[in-house]
Amino acid sequence: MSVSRGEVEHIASLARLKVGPGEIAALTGEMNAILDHMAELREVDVEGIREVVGVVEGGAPTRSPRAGPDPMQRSPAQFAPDWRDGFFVVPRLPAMEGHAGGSGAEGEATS
Amino acid sequence: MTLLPPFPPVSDMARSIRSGEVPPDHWVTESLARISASDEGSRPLGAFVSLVDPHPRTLPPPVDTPWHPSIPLAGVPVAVKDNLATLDLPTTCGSRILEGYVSPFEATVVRRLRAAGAVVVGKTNMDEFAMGSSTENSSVKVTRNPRDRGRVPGGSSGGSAAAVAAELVPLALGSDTGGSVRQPASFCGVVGIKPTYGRVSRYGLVAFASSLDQVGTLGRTVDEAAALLEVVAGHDPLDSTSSTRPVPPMGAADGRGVGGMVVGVPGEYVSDSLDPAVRRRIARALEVLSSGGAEIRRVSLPHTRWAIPTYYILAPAEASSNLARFDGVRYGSRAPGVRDTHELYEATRSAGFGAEVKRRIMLGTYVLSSGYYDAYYARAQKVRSLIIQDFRNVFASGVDVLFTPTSPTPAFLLGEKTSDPYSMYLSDIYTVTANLAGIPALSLPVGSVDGLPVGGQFMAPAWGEEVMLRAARALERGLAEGGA
Repeated sequence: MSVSRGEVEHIASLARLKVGPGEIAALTGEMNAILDHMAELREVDVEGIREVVGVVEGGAPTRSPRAGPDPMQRSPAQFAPDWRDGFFVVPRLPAMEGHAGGSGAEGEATS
Repeated sequence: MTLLPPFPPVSDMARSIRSGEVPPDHWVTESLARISASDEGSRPLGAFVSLVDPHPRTLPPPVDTPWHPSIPLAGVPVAVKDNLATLDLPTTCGSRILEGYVSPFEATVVRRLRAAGAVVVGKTNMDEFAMGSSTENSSVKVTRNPRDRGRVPGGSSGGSAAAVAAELVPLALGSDTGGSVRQPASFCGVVGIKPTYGRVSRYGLVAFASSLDQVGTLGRTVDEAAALLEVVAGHDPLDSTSSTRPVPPMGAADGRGVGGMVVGVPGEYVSDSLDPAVRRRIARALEVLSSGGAEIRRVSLPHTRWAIPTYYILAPAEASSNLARFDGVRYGSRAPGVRDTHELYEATRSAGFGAEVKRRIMLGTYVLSSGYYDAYYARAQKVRSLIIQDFRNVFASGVDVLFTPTSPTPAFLLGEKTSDPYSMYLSDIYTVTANLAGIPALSLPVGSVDGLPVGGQFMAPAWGEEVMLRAARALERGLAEGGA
């Protein structure tokens, strides 16, 4: 199974990566070379074999719904790219383009 | 190259601090001086990406602190891989996207290190987000092999392995998702341990592939690497995948040897494609084990040949999910001058991630996408089940431990494999199976080829660290007595 340039562009979009015109050809070639090796898995008879979800002893663990103590020893103000009044400030969502108002400065939204 | 004189045994270093024979900052000061010297010249070692402030106020507690004998690592300098969260030093994962990021919380393993009296002298270089087998994928700097500075230290825990091998620190933490502690240990000539999945907390380990990642330890000897593992191991309520099983006494030397033990050698791991000089070192190690009373038994792990494709579908798939959090919103770098959030994500991630990380995110996104999930991801999960069953069958047949090469070759040259991603992936051919199966594995030096270290790998059943360490100690002792 091989990927086309169009598919590579689509995958990049899904992954929120921008792949420039100069990179597409190389990346398509690399992915196809790798996927050729991955295709060897078709040789394995997996009839009746269940998928492994993980290797945790006893299966997927659950925990109490009660929240524990806050492990954060620094406020987001010290590491966030933009932090204001208790919110992470981000550029406006594309869907809000052209809408008036909003809780932040013009062109900003808070999350 | 001439390596530095070794630090004393870790137990002696700690004792000298606890007794007041030397000042509390003595070994840390020595370590920092060695690190500085190692980076001089035209080919700096480059093991560390950040170092602790050497000012006395920031070093270990003052001389009147009661050093309790139960603090086994009192004043011992330790290196920590840069994907483990620390409060006092940045955690960059070797990536531009986390340049300068200082974590607001600390990894459980680091807290346990500090509680044992150790001093984290610095964070070590690594392949970006632990994706790589040579540390060449770091966006920060090049790390060189202390045995030959024209060669790679292995990866992705190359900085940690180089730091121990160069006697900059006696102990280091790394992480192992597909061999990233064991392979650099093999390339640098030190001991590296990957524990059973769930033995050590992953809280504060920046996730690459959550069903495969484990924190591992590196040391100059089996005893020292095991002692460090015992310090950091154990249940953590902050990591729901960490086991509640009690931690056995791994640091204590078990002198029983390998008499009566069955050591399995999988035929798939010693095939014709193995470097002949590496094969000879492995054969010599098996002779030592046999002389010690072990039965050497040829076994088969029939699905081994599909381990690399399986791993390189599952690990990127998990990585594509885990690395989605790096989007410029809450932490890390943020691309400037963007119009909207969509552009924020794309511009931040494209500028922040290196080529290999992007390649793996793309692969992972593809194999999880609609129309391809069954052909790739679901199938790989089924093959993983078969690989796990291979190990269970062999151990159930009476084999106590398995012994294999750690890597098909000794350390390769810097730049030798960077143009062909898949040839780099094949470096992990003997190590990925232990991560897929969740079993413990250990690499120790078994000799050298043209001056380059060669590692031999033990693998044991899940929770079998004690039998694995017993075999490793016996081999280490036998090689030292008989010559490798």
